[in-house]
Amino acid sequence: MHGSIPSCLAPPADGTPWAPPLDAADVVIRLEAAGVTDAVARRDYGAQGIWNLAESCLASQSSIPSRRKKPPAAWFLGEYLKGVSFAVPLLLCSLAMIWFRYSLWGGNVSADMAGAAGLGTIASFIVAGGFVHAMAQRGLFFQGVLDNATAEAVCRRWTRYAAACLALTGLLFVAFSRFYDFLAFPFDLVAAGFHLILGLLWLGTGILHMLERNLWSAAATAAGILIVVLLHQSGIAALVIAQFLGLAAATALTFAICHVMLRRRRGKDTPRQVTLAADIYYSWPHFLYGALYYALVFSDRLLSWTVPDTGSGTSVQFRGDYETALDIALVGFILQVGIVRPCGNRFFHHLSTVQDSLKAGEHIEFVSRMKRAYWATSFRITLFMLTTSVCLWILAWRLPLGDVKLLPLTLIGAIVGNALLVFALWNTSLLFRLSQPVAVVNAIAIGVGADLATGYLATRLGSYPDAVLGFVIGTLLFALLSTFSISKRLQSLDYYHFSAAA
Amino acid sequence: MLWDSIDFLRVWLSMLVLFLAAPLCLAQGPHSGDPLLRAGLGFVRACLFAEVVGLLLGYFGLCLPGSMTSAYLLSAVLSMWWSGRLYRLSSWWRASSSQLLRSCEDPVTGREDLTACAANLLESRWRLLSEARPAAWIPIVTASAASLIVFTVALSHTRFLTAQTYTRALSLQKLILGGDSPPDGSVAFLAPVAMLAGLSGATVIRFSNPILCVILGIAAFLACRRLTGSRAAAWIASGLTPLVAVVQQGELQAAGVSSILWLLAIAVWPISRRDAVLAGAGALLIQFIPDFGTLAIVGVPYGLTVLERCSRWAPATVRRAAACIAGLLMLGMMQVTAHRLPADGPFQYEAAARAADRIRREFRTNTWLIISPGQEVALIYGRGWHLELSNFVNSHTIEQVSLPGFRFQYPVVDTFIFVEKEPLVTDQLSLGLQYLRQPFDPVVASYHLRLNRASLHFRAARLISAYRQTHSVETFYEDPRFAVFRIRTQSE
Repeated sequence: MHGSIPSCLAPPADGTPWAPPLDAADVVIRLEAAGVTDAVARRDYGAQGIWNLAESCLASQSSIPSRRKKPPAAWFLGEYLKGVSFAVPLLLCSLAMIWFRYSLWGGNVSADMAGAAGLGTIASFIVAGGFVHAMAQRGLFFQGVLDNATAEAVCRRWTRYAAACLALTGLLFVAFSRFYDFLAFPFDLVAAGFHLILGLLWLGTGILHMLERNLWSAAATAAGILIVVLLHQSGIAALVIAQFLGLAAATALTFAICHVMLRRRRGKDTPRQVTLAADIYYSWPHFLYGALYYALVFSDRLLSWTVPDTGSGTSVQFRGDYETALDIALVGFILQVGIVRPCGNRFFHHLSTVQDSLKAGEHIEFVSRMKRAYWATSFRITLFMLTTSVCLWILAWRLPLGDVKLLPLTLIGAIVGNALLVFALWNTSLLFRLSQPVAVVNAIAIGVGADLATGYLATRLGSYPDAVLGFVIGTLLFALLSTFSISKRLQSLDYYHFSAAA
Repeated sequence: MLWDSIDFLRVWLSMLVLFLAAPLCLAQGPHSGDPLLRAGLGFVRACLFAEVVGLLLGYFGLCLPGSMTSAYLLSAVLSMWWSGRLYRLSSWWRASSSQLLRSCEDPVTGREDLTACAANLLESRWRLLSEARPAAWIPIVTASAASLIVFTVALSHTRFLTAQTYTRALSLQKLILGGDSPPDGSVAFLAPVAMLAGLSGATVIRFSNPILCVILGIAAFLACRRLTGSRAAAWIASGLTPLVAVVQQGELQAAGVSSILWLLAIAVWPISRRDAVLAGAGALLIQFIPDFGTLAIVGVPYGLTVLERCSRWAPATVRRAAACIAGLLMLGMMQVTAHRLPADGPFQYEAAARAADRIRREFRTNTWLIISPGQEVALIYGRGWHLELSNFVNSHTIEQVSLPGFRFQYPVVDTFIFVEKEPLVTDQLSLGLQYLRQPFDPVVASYHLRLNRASLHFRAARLISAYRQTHSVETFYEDPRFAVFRIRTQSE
């Protein structure tokens, strides 16, 4: 007989966060989780049963102060910077574009070549996007349960399947292009090549993003750009060939880094057997979300580039002025999307604080306070987006764009669409953390459908800059539907939060 | 020849998918046990749908692959939702995906399931084929033999034989490029075929003719069988009707196409009046006012019905033998008719049409220009540029083009000039202005008056000859009567 307080109720010795029990029921749960039954309570602690033991321990436990993990002072800024770190490779590419007039892709090439490269790039995002999200979901899950060996095995498996899928879709595209005379030879092969190599690069950067090592992606990108510059400036290779070689080098370097990091994290552990069926079952909504997200982001470009032009020599025409407006708006998107990560983390930090401060029966108060927190955060995000959007609009007209014409309506549409997309991503991050990916998939699927339908009609009845209307409508629907979904879940947040934690 | 055969295959497969496979998959409502009649019903619905969608989208200039695909997908989903099969499909999808997951878990079981599924599918298809009565194949064989003859004509004739066919080819091409010209009802139903096959309007018109002949033969068989109840008479109708449709002009026109639907309306009337009315509506959309050709084609089954009633006194064997002989005679007549078609004309040399087709295939879109009489426009519209020969000869002089510094100011890489060394002479070309059709068109007059045509080609030949003395001109094609000259006007 111990005759004292069970050790499972004491605060952990390693200083990890701990909170005193809320009531006797909470103490019973903690005791049962540690294997203390009525028999054990009688035998080891001299109590009549587990409930008596809990009630006797409650008074002493309530007096122990809770231990919380406090965020550091620069927590918000750090999280914000982590949120925008995915864009560092993009920033490097933009710098190279300004400096050398070309980058890992793009540059001063013919209209046909630009169209082919653009098409390959978009296709790589859409096809690889699904795999990257599914892989990240499974990898983060196994990392979360400290099973790095299985996380590595899962990443390798998804990478293999993604590479096969990229190769297959590339071949299918070439066959389609030849059959329907979509892109002339050799532009169809250029598009397929960009699709394959960029798709592999996104997979590698996806793994590094999952490991929170985005600076290594930037290093690989810089190495790729360096190779392109060396090969092209020295006259060894034409620009497109140099870009292919640079991309191949960047991809190889990214995978080498991934290999080393995953191996280092794994140590000497052996992965557990995870069947493909389990992978598919758990990650199919994430896969769909990844593909649909990029479809939503890029479908307006595709619609704009494929507006029928009987005077043109090709089915795909790269629209430089349309792209310029979208690229300027992209800067705003990167600045805005960084806020989603700290806001999401702060929301859930607040949730645990509120949860600790309330008793188990006060779930109505819990829901009400979290609803207020959601809407307050949403308001702050909206305010931030409004400010950045207005600043961006003012700055855009002062940019030295040379001969490039800036399309005002396209710029407005892209800025508004991006802001709506960021708001939808804020909702999406909450829904994913509440384990509600299907709600996200439903919302984004409707958004993509609306984007395609509106953009198609607008471009075919109007002209190519009207494609941005589809983007605005698509992101608006995505934002509205995701807000509706999260509002619905917030009504019973206690249930969704605990079921997600389970 | 190889590319032509491949194009024919593409058209044939596209029509098979759109007018047979898709409607049969989505079919609902009254089902007849006769597979031919079921296929006929499917054709009526698919044809009417394609016609209405083609005309509607074409009216707004939206008859493009994206909107056409959306229309088909939307109608498929709506049709499945209406018949309650959408729910069954989602249940099937859930069951299949869980089956797939189980197969992923255990590859051995997965392989076994897959083998069992394939075996079931093969067995059901074989049962369907083995249950079909041999008699059902007779009209298909007859109509196919007739269409084989028309196919050989289509394969050997890149040019068209009537002015209406050139107009139809151009209308179809404009329609699928989202043009704003008023849609032509006689070609709107072929828009999805052209999109699925990925071919130009001219190629689709050229190769859909034999296939539509087969369908016309089958429709006549069904209509005649319905009217007479005699397979022998129906068999004769299946051969005679395509013959009547093509014998006058060598090509199936709007009258022939609308007759398919009229005949199917007669055939399906007893089993589905709604479909019969729909078929009639479709026929009116294709040809709003039926002409003598339509009456002649649709009249064939009625004529045979009268003959069949009159010959009921004869024994069945005699009637069957007579039907066989009549069928063979008709095929023979078609063969003779096909061989009697002129090698060139009536509007252009066959070599000119082949040269235009070759240029369209071999050169990149819109990087070239053809200077020729107007017929080539229908063959190349949307793929390259065209300039009337009359404009070309009127805007240049011999002195001008013979200067070494002279350059043709066309913003293309290659310019092809079609010259008739021996001007085409056919019955369609008139000797004087009084023979031209009203209203008077000066461009048409330039080519349709024999003397004018000869003068234009002579002047073009002189211009090229003068230009050749100081510039490089490549002979792209040449035979004793016709030549195509290639001039590189710009570097790529």
